[in-house]
Amino acid sequence: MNVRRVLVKPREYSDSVRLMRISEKLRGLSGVGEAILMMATDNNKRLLESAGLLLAEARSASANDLVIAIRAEADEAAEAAVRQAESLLKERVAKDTTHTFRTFDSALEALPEANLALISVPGKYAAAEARRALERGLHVMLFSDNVSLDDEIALKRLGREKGLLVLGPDCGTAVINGAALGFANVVRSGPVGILGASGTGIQEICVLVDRMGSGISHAIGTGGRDLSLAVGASTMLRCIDLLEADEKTRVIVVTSKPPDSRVATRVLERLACCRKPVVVNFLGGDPAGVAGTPMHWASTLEEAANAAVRLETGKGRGTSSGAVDPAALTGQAEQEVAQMAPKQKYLRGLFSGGTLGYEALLVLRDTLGDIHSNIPLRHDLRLPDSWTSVGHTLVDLGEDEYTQGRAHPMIDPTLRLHRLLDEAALPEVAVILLDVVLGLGTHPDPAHGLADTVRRARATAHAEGRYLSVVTAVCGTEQDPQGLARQEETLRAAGAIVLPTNAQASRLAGLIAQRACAA
Amino acid sequence: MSDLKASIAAANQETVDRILAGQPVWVDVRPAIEVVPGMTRNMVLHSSPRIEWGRMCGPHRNGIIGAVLFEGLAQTRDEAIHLIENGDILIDTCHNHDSVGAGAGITSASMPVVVVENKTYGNRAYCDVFESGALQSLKWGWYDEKVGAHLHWLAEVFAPVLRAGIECMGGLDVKSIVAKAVQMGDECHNRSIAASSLFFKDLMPYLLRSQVKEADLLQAVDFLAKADHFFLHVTMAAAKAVLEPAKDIPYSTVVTAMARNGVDFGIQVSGLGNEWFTAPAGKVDGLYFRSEWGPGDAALDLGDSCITETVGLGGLIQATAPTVQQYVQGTLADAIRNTVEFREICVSTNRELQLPNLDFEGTPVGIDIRKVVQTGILPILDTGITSKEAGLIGAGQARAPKECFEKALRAFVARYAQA
Amino acid sequence: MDTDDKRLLRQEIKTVNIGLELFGEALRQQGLQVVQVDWRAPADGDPELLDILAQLL
Repeated sequence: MNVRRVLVKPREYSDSVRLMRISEKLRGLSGVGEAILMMATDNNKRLLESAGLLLAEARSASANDLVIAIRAEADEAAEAAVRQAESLLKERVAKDTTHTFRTFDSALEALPEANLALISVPGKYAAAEARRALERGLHVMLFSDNVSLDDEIALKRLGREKGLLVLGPDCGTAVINGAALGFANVVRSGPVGILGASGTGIQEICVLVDRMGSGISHAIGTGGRDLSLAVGASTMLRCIDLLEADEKTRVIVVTSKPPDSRVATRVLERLACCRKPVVVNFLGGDPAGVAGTPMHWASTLEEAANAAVRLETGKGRGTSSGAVDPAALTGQAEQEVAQMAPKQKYLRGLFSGGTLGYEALLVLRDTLGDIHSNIPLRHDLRLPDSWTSVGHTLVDLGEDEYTQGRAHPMIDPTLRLHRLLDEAALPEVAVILLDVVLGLGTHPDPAHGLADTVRRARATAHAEGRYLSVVTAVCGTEQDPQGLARQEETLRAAGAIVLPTNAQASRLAGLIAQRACAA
Repeated sequence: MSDLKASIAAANQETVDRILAGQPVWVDVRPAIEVVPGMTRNMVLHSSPRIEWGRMCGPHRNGIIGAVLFEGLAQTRDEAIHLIENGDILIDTCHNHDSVGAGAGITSASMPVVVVENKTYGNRAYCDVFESGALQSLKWGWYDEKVGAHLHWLAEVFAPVLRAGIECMGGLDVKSIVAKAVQMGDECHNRSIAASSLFFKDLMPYLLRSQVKEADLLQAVDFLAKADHFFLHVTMAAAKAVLEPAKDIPYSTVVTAMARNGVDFGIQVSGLGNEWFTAPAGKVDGLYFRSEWGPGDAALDLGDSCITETVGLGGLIQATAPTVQQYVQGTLADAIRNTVEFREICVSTNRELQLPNLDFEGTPVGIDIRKVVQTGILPILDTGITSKEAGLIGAGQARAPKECFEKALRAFVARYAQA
Repeated sequence: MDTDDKRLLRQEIKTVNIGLELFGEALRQQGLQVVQVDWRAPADGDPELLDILAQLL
């Protein structure tokens, strides 16, 4: 390291720390042994001297002068270091910060009029956050699941004491006074109020109501376990009171998987004395529940939407707009199967929305009978391995076994797309049934990736002498950021058959598989 | 909210109110033996927490030996070590004597200290007078003839001149200097150049009118004019002085002291009295003054100087002195983000000390151990890097270890929460 | 009586969003007021410390 280069920049001031940082960078250059940038004060000159770099120019420099002192292996290295030093001295730093808060309390300080806490942290911690929010006087929407039953009961009790709502846990969807929370669609404001223990159930009803030209006053998710015996419909019952008192609401729709029978009784008794018309949609439940009351029964989400709009407008309407006539469905099913290879038989349903998947299972039962699932209608139909289909299979990809360490499939479609390709490659698969959910909080363009994968899947099947049917329904509105029409179009262009509702798509897929089995 | 939570909230508010009500005034400069409570001729103080001779880091050990030599208690290093090991030298921490010390914090009987009085509550605190900007000084554990001679000069020539100037001034309002300095790019720990310059400007007219020998005056002025970090030691004493009345408030979870001795890091909490909660001191992340120095040469974090962070200066307000971020290849955005984060773990802000880069929001004050443990946001200390043996070799930043806060939190719940 | 929850159905929703940022984004897109908590596991998930924090904070 024999080459020494010292450069003095007269009256050029730079902060000592900045100079140290540049020195550090220069020392990293190849062939550079020492690099010191300093203002030529007495103390600093002493340091340069001890480093053998107090050459004449540096010695005669004054405290207002900047000294660049380099020791290197060769001239070129020294020169390069000096040039780099000068360039770094000229650099400027500028950046932006966006603001988030590390604690609930400081967030609340910034927005003291906050009235709702939306909580989507891991279940283990969610109850503590919810408790804190309630203690501070905020209503709580708990998107998180895996919250203990005891915690749910305690939180809802605390909420009742304080007159605050606790939506959830496992509440994915709410629309309150026009604000779409969690996974929710942009829907017209109107007179239909929805209460649901089921996220995508609420979403499907909302979008269908909107499609028929009506609108939503509020759509409130109570959480998947609210209607269990232990929780006793705590939030549901309170919300029935609220919707009954709410001026904007003229019809109340209650949607859920069938509750515990004692809880169902309590809820139905309460609904029966409601001053406003009520539609009860206990998916897979017994219509006898509303016998002898003024309440209306709906077995599917689609029927619930139809009934609500009918009641509200007084207009008769058998099916929602764009509905396909059943005979046409059968004809279409036969057309699909005519192109298939003899071995193709089975239906594979890949769902991102739990309730949509559940409704599909109910509809498919009519045409296909037993369907294996990770959310089976009967215990003995539970898939031994969620990753391997058996016969007719429908899976809810939002369930825990798929979502460990991942985002929900309505946000991250990766797992479903892989599964689609896997299923498509199997010679015994005839039809794939899918839900596509739009709205705020969900993937910005679900149809795009899905369409690409559908194309690939159908091409694979075609190359192996098979024909793969893909049937889907898009749960969304034109106002959703993704745009309903464009999403449907993208899917059709890839060869998917797009029906207007989940129930109809399930019906068609069931007919296809039924015909394929028979063939 | 439970009674316990309400009590804590009230106690924390009172703690911060007391800190903010403090009025620290620099009133005097005297030899330690004359003013530091409990100081004796054969005593050497060092930065906290307490630590046995055998466990001390190099700068502390070498610094204490140096002090013994300086005081003339021994003539050689070996003699000095002999006295120390025999127990003939009383070794204690600065904090135990109402004092704080920067670096190794070495304070002995003849060394001059600044005296700061908290006018609101009447209590006083002390800190060694700034020694020197040299890398080899007793502050960093280095003692040789040159250092010794300079220490004598400080005690015999400089300190009396400084005292005369302060007396002539009628005392110096420390907060007003700090308030201006934080608007001029100082965070008042690793950067005190604005504060030191403002002090110099204020002092000069009085110094020139005080009755001191011209030769001494010239030497003193020459020294002060180059002492960029001079004011740190005054700020430290002032911080100690305003924190003292905030100690021992029942139910308070606010930190009243932080310190490290190159081996252990310790904190004190208002509601937990004089107890120190300690954990191993951490490494300092930063830059080195010479290429042959690196992390392998460095002692761990040391010094009482993080009493500045304890009152919401230094590493807690990097946003106002973004240059310190450059030690760790950081940016202005990093500096601002760090300061905004510290607001999250503090009870309140100090409206008298406003930060232009945060739209004149006050400095964060009152570190709450609950919030530290909850968020994992650990106070940053802007600090020097000392060599394992002696001498300053670089500068940078370190984080207070989370174990200290966790230990304190456990002790707190044991004392205050019904089982 | 006009309870808090009745009032909620008539109020503009102003949210503290704790968790997935995309929910906060969605609210902002609708022109609604929201503050975002950059949530991390308190006390690094240590159960003993979580318990203590529940009592004190």
